[in-house]
Amino acid sequence: MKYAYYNSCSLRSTGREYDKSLRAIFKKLDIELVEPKNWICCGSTLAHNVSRLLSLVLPLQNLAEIQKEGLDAVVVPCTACYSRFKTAQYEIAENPEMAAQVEEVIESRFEKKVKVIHPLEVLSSEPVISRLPELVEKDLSGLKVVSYYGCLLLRPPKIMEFDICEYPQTMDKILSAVGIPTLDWSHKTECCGGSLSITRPEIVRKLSRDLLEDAKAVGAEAISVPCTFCHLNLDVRQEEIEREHNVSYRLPILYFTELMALAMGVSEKDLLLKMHFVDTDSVLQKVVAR
Amino acid sequence: MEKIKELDLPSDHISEFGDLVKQMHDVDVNMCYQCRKCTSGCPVAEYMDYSPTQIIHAVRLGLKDMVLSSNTYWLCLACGTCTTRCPQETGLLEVMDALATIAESKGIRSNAPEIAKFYETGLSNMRFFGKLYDLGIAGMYKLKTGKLTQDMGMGIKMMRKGKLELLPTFQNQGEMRRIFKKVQEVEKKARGATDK
Ligand code: SF4
Ligand code: SF4
Repeated sequence: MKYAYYNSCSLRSTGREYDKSLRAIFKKLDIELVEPKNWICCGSTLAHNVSRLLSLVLPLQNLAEIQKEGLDAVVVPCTACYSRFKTAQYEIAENPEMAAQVEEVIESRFEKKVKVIHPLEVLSSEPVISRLPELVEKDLSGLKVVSYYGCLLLRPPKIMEFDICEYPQTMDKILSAVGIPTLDWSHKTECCGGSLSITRPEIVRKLSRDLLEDAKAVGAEAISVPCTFCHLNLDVRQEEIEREHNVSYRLPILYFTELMALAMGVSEKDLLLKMHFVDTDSVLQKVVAR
Repeated sequence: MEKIKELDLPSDHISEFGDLVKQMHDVDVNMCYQCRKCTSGCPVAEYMDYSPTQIIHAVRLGLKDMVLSSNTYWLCLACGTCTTRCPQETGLLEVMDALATIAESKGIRSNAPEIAKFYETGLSNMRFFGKLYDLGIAGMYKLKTGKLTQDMGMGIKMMRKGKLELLPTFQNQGEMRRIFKKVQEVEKKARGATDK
C-alpha cells in the first residue's frame, strides 16, 4: 500500500512525537508514505477567518500537487489539516462558482478527487485492522485508557463523514485490536479549547480541565488523542491547570500512534516520549513482555 | 403582551446584512427558528457577549453594528457543535467565518483585539515562510499585544523539549506568496462582478 503523506507544520514542531510514532507503525504494516515535495501550509485554523477563497485554495493546492505526483489518496494526521482538506473538497463540489475561482488561483483542474484519509481510517479498515493483533509484541492490557476524539475530526458530520459523530468508536476499536482496553467516558467529543490556546488560555484551561476531570473520574491512567491541538492543551497545559485548581491529575496524554507503537514492540528509544510534558513513565511501567 | 419583533417579518425576510452573509458563505440565516440547540452545545457560549442563537437572529434582523462589535465570532472555536446539531442546518460555522472576514476587512477589532492580532500575525507568518513557524508567531504575537510574560515559562520549556523550531525554515514560500496575491485579485474581481 502506498499513500501521499501530508506531514504538516504541527507534525514538524509541537507534534513531532505523532509523526515519529505514526511512521514506526506504518512501517511495521508495510504501508509506504510519500511526502509531496511542494507542499505548503493548508491554512490551518487561521485562513478561514479572513478569506473563504484562501481557505479553499490552500488545501486544494496541496491536493493538486499530490495529483501531479500521481497519487490518489493522502493520509492527513493533523485533525485541523484533515478538516480543512475535507471542507475544501466539499465546498467546491457544492459551489461551482467557488470551484472556478479556486481553479483560477491554483491554475489546474481537478479531474479526479484525491481521497483524504485520516490515519485512524487507514488503521480501522480492512485488511489492516485484522492484521493488527498478529503484530502485537507487548502486553498493555493493564493500562486503562480513554480515547478522545475532539472536534475537528468529527464535525460537521455531513462534511467529515467520520464514524458516528456523537459517539465514535474507531480509536477504541484500533486500540483494543492491539490489546489496549479503553474505558467509556462522556467527554469523547467535547472541545479542548483548540485554537484559543495562545490568545485565551484561561478558556482553554477551563475546557481542558473538564476533560481531565472526567477522564480521572472514570479511572483512566492515560488519554489517547489524534490531534496536535488537543495534545498541546491537555499535555503542555496540564501542570498549569493543576496549579490553578490545586489538583493533581498526572495523566499522560499519548497519541494513539504512540500507544500502538508501544504495543507493537517499537522501542522507547525510537519514540519521542521525552518530549511530553506529563511524564509517561507510568505508562511505560505497564508495558510488559508477553 | 408585546409582539416579538421577528413575528412581524415575512417568512422570506432577509436583511441586507443577512444577504451579504448568504452571498459570502451560502448560508441562510432565515432558516433559524431560535430553538437554541446551538447555544446549549457551544463550549464558549458563557464567554460570548451574545450567544450563537442571538447572533444568528441579529444577523437576520440586520443589526450589523451590534453583531460586529461583539466578541462572539472571534471567540468561536469552529468546533462545529452548533452546525452538527442544528435541526434547520443553518450553518452557524459559516456565519461565524463570514463575520470574522467582514470584521477583518473593515479593521474592526471589537472586544477581542488579541484574537484578531493572532490571526493577522499567523497569516503573515504563513505567507512569509510557506508554513507556520510557531515560535515566530508566538513571539510576534506577544510583542504586538504586550503580553510578553504570559506563557513565557511554557515557551522556554517547549524549546528545551524540542517542541519548537528555533530557527525558521522555508517551505515553497514563493508559491505561497503567489497564492496570497492571486487570491486577492480573484476576490476583487468577484466582488466587482456582484456589485454591478
Ligand atoms: S440550532 Fe439552528 S435553528 Fe436552533 S437556534 Fe441554533 S441556528 Fe437556530
Ligand atoms: S462552532 Fe463556534 S459557535 Fe458553534 S458551538 Fe463551536 S464554538 Fe460555539
